[in-house]
Amino acid sequence: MISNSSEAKDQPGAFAPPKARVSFLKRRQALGWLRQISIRLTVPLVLIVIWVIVSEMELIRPLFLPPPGQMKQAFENLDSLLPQAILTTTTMTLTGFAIGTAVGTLMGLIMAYSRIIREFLGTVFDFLRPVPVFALIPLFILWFGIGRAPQVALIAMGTSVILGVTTLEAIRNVPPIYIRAALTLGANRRRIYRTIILPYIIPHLIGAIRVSAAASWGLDVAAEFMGSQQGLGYLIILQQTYLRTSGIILLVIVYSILAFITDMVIAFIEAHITRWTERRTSGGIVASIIGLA
Amino acid sequence: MAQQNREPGQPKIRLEHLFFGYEKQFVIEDFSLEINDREFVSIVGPSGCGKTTLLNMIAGLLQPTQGQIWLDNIHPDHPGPDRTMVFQSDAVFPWYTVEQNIEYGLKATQKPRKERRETVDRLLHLVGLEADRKKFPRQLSGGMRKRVDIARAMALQPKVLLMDEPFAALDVLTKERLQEDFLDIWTSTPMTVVFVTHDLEEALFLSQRVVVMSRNPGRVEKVVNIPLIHPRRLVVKTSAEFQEIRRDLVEVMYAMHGGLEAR
Ligand SMILES: Nc1ncnc2c1ncn2[C@@H]1O[C@H](COP(=O)(O)OP(=O)(O)O)[C@@H](O)[C@H]1O
Ligand SMILES: [Mg+2]
Repeated sequence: MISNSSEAKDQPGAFAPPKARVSFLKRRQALGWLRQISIRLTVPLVLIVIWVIVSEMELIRPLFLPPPGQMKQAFENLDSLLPQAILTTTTMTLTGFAIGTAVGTLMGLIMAYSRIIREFLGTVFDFLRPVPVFALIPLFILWFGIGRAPQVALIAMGTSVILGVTTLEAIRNVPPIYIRAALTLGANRRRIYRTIILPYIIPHLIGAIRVSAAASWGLDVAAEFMGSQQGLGYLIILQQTYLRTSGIILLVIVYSILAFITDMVIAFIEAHITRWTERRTSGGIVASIIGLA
Repeated sequence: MAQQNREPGQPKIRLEHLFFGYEKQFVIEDFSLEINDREFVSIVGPSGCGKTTLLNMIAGLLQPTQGQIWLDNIHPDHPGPDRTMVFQSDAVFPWYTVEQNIEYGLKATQKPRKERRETVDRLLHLVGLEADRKKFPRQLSGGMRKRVDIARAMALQPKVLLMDEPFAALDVLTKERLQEDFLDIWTSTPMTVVFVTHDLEEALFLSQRVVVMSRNPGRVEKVVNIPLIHPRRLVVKTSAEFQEIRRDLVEVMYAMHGGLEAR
């Protein structure tokens, strides 16, 4: 009945590049990848070179910084213990992280949803928020003993505080216009939470989720230091007792890789659930200014 | 299909001595107006005179400090699907696709799936966005997003449609096209429309009655009937009759604001 040809022209994809240009673009893209990889690897490579030079020239005692050659030996020493330790540590960290993220987000949502609950829990929440979770480790061990449960609880607590605060703050920033629109369309409070507030805050929570994922690995190390009979953190303490510096470095690298993979997975998931966000359309100079390209 | 039975019926909306203040001062002061069933009324006034505030009160999003609003025979103290709204700023939900946006109110009011499908299809056709149903709002132009907004508000078949400067942010061509399209839609749908704008020409072209609002305090300055017959086409804007009414109203607005705010 009504056409909108005058508006149809500014749709994306209306102008497809000619074929010759496509292959040119592909080649440029491939070059771009090479360039990117080499840029990304420069700093790690330089650091390794410095490491080799420093230890070859014996500028630092091997006890403090072992030569790279010793890493292989360290790996052989720990080889048989690593799989089990990685499994234990990863399970505990991710469990604590998952519980903490869920509980924290839920707490934030509930506190925004209900004024009574907010006033009821608000004071406790405000008190707990600035407490350094690491300081609670000895208490947790005293109360719950050594074992997986207190460690998971500790990680969950650290994570949930971060997520709780961020969620509450993100909800307060939901533009009122969306809520007004939903109200006039007949939505009730519950539906508004499910269909407006939740989708709106998710992209705003991703940053906090990534921060708390990283913090989870840190909390896990600390928890394992304090009392544990298995896991990567426990192995680090073991290496320290025998003064095996190379073993410590190896285990730290393992931790880093695990944390890195977690972060990549979160970033991947984010890209899929926030397809609607405005920044996906940023290109050119805008993208370069806000650090997207 | 033109539904020409647009003689004044019973008043659909009655605003009686409305007062509203956000802080100490009243923004709306002693505002009274009756709007008939299936009427197309425009409210014109300079920005900041309280047009959005007034619509929010009719929508049930704000409660008047004093005075009464009647919708048929009830006081609407809460938003309801019988009065939907097209907002001044972009209010299409960016996380939903075009069709999900249009379906939103139908889901909220628990319409059965089959009815939802049919209504969404009908409205997509009505606003000419069938090809874009799976797109996200960020992939659309401003004019297309406004079409989504209008379709979303109309999906519930409201008795009253409240429109808050819906076309103000658009370029002239898109705007005029949407004005004409929207008039067609209104002609074929039994709806009372309260259309707020700061654009006098837009108000004259669209509506049967124009209410000129004053600022500080916001109240009714003048009410004018527009005798041009519907359906109207854009060319009517160049007619002598149209220009004459326009001249009269411009004078009213100049007199009101010392020539600064009116256009
Ligand atoms: N939430 C608010 N709090 C305080 N003052 C407001 C608020 N919203 C609007 N106002 C004031 O009320 C007056 C009328 O606003 P509004 O209804 O938005 O006018 P219009 O839609 O005609 O431009 C303006 O002076 C504006 O500054
Ligand atoms: Mg306004």
